[in-house]
Amino acid sequence: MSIFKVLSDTDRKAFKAWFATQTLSKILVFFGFIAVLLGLSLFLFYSSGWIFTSLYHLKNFGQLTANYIMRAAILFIVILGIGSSTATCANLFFAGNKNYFYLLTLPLDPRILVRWIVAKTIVVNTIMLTIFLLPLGLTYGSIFGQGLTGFLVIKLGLVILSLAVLTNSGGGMAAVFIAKRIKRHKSVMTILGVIVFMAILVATFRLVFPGNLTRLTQIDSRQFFPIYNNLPLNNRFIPTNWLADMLTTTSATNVVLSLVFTAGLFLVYLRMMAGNFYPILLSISAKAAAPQATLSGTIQTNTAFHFEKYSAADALALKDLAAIIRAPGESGYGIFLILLIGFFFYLFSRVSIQAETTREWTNWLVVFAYAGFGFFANTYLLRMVFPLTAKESTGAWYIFSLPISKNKLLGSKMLLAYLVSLPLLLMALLIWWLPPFLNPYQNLLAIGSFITTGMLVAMHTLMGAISPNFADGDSPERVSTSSMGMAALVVTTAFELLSAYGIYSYINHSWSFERVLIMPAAAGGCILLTLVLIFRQTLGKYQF
Amino acid sequence: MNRVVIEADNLSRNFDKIKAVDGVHLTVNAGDIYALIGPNGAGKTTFIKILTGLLAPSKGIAWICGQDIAKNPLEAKRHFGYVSDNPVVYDYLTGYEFLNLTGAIRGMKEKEIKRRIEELVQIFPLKEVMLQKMGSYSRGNRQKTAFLASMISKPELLIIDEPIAGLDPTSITIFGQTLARYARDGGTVFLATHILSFGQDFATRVGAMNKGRLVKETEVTGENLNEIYKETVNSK
Ligand SMILES: Nc1ncnc2c1ncn2[C@@H]1O[C@H](COP(=O)(O)OP(=O)(O)OP(=O)(O)O)[C@@H](O)[C@H]1O
Ligand SMILES: [Mg+2]
Repeated sequence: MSIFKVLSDTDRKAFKAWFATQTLSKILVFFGFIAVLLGLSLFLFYSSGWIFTSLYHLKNFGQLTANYIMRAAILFIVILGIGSSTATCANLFFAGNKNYFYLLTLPLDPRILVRWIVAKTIVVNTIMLTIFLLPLGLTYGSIFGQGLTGFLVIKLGLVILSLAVLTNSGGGMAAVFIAKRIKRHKSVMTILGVIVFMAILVATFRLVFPGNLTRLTQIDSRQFFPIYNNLPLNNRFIPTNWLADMLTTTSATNVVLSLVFTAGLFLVYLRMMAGNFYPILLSISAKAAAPQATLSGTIQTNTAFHFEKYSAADALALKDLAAIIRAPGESGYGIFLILLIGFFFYLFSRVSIQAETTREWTNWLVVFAYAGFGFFANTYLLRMVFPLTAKESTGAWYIFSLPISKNKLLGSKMLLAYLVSLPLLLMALLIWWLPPFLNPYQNLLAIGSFITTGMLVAMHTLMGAISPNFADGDSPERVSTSSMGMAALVVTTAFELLSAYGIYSYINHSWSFERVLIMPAAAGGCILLTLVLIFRQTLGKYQF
Repeated sequence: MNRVVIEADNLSRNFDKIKAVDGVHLTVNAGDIYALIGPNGAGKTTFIKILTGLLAPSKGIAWICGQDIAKNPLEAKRHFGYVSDNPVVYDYLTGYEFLNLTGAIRGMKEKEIKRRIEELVQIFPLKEVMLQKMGSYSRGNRQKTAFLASMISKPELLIIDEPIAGLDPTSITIFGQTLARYARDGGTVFLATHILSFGQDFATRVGAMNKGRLVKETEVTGENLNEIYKETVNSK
């Protein structure tokens, strides 16, 4: 038992230590983060309330549609949750936590450590799931069920907990499976993992939105049921449906099925982790100890970078460019993400617009395409631009002991950020000519997304420079997924949503062309100004 | 020539309850090689980090060549070159590229940088090593490269934390002689070291720290650093 206390003390101290420096801005970020999550939760509460209420008035099929939405929501939550759990767990194996490596040298029962890690992730998962599922469950229950009863809350709690355990187990098992097979090629593994995940997402999309779904809106009640019951998502053997049906029905079978399924998966997962955790960490740490090939080798003068020919700020930017070019993993990752966006839009452009498809549906597709590009751009920037300052890493003392002003440093990071984002900015301008159904809006989409992406680059650069995570600078993916990275994601996503809302409003004739461009630009300007002010307060006071 | 290069006035720094540096008064004149000695945890590194602007003092002021490091960091930083006690810099650059980069950041002209690098690489036999990426360097070669970089713009002051940890005996002698020549030409050196014999041979002044306080300060000639060190450790 006391070993749990040691482990929890270690984590508590790490948490406190994070707040020890630049306390004020970190507390602000922390509360900002919580505020955004709560805001998201409220948004879900009101929007789902609105949707469910309007479905409720659609006498015949309203509840069935709502049930379908619940099933789809839980399926997506599970897929996304398993995806992120896989990434977290694989990251634990591959990025290696220094504390765990130290624990490896001690005579410690692996099962204790595994239980601790599992318990921690389940708690975090539960909190995140609550934010998404609680509002949905509450509105559904109060509109279609018996109102806000204690029974509903208990059922919701049970579903959330099951989901937390389920996603954690699924993700952990996938990570163990991957780590046991591919130990050396981390970048290959990441790329393969993302491809598989995308494939699963696409498959899920097709499962939830099959071709005959749109026909349901145009037929009468006699034809409805055969089609509805045969929708692929309504298959009785999809385990996530048991969980969804716990909320939408009162049958006890679903509760039993869900709990048995979850508990079974969890037990298998615990056994698998306890047996594999140390062997995997050991075999990976043995490989990590060998010097990296990319960091050794001779470079003759004619192929070297000639910093002496540049001004201070340009030389600094060139140095970071060298870091990206000389780490094939980094540039490879960037190219991969760009190709992925291209691929996505290629697929998207194949979506055929049939004659019976409503105008409304195509309008949604336009907004979806715009928001989708924003989502991809944000992923790219979070991974490639946000960590630029933190990548100074253990060598950061050097820059800070040289006579360079903070502004010049930021300037060099900005220069590099726009250089790294050049392919993305080009795509933001041109990609709208690929899907034919974007035809009437191409100019607006191109200008809008170019401005938005350009501002996003600056936002990520600034957020990354406000409180750079130098300690993790050698693994950019850890920098991106740190708390500051998540804060950046939240801020930039909010900005993107506003921009997408502008496009939506233009299509619905409530905003003018100019307004669609000016409103987000003004908001972006305000965000940037705030970030610059925070930057001047924080990086200037950075301590080593 | 008694120009003051470093002046610390009541310099202090706390980490929570630990007084890492506690009310240090200290003056270093031009031409001095000043060695800071003291046991592990005495506060040498913390003191140096305050001097170089990497840490803010809790109390007190430090001037480098007349510039307050906290108020005018840029002006102060133009006057010195610094090597950290853990001289890890850019693993993906070669030694040559690193020197070029430092020259560029310090605002030197291309020709000047090239000429200066030619001079510097003569100091240690490093010509082959400098073509390799620094990620593969041994600790000693890292130390040497960082030292050369700190000298590139011919600053008036060198601040070096544990300069000879990891250097081989031949390199230590070369290093000491280089510092001596640099000081003869009017440069000033401030370093922290555990190798008392090195201080005895090459330093002109010595300061002994313990538990954050500067316990003793004296000329090196005529003194025995081993004795001073023992006294320092035993001081309360
Ligand atoms: N960032 C920090 N946070 C908390 N305490 C610190 C920090 N840096 C130094 N200290 C504490 O300050 C004291 C002085 O440390 P410092 O590194 O200056 O000693 P030192 O004389 O350089 O030692 P060494 O000879 O081992 O290099 C130590 O007690 C150390 O634990
Ligand atoms: Mg030290």
